[in-house]
Amino acid sequence: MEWIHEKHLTKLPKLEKKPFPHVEIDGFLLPERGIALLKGLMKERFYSKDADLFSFFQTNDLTKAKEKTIKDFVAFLKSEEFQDYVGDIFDVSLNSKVDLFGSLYKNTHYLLPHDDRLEGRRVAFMYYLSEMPVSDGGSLGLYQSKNNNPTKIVKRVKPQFNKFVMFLVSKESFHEVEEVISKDKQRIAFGGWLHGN
Amino acid sequence: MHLEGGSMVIRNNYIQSVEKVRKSFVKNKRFPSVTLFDFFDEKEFKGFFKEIGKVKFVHERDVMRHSWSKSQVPKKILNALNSPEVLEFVSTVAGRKISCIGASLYKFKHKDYTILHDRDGDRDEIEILIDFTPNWCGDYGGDVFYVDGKENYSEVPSGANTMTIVHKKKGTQRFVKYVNHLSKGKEKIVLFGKVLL
Repeated sequence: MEWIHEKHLTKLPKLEKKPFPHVEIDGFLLPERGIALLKGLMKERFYSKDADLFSFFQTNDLTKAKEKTIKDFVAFLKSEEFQDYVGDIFDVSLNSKVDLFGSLYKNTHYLLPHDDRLEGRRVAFMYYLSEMPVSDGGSLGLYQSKNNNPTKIVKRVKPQFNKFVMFLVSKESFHEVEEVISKDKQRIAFGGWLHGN
Repeated sequence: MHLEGGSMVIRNNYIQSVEKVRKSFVKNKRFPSVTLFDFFDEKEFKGFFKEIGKVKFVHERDVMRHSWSKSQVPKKILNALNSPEVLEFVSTVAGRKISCIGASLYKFKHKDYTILHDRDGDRDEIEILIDFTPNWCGDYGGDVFYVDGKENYSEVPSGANTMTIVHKKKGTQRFVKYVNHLSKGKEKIVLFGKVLL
């Protein structure tokens, strides 16, 4: 595939099982792809999203985007090769349906704990396009759970340019985006879900 | 009507204009409610605030529902809420006979919140909110919102010595917005009361 860095094709990324099945892949795409995607995403319009659970900016559904780089990215995510790649990592069967949006978190923005469960969603993914040091917040917090209730965060994934994170959506996949605590840094990412039966 | 000792709890201007307050309450058909600024007599309110300073708050977190510090309402405040003066005032505004107000006291600091959940919104009820917080800024979060089943939102105005009376119809839920890092150690102090009809 002309998207994924070769080192991630010769050997499948290691599936971490705790607190729930996930992978964290640094340098996932070819660097030029990441740069082009960042440029493409920043041409999209972001809308303020504010509710009890969250406060951030988000694009519309990018599977309908007209921008070529993003259209190509959608095609890549839907491709048989990528779907098989993810299916092999998580041992799941996917059906090529993809949801995709762009998110932008600025100072004080956050997303409170939730599990992403909605009919059809099998694997959630995030592709980071900015760097956030630990002190600036914005990390993805993964919760341990007991009796299908989240208890505490046991892992934090720091946003890093060209990092791809995926996890299996389940009754245990509780996670959050930590509040961004930076006046000038922004957490920019693609996010979405791969669907399956 | 007066408390023991002859002091008025509610500012006289509200007592005198209770019918006008009732009209404001019913005007908003989607969220019948009214917010009364500087509601309590100044001396009484200072006394309430002093009592709050003496009680112990215990922090609780149920990740998918809330993070807050909670306390029993000091006797002086509970007695004032259940005084004939306040009960009659609230009864007139709400348009129904109210026999008792039960309440709890909450503090919300950085990282505290409540999230909407299914069990809230089961009943048709009258709610009382009293804000005890001096110098709170909306930029900190912590604001109280009501939302109906059609995603219509109503924000409760905040400010120390503010009393809000709400007809929380069946299907309407309430949440407290996440308190962000701009709050810098400040705490929102709010009493939530439910009226027994």
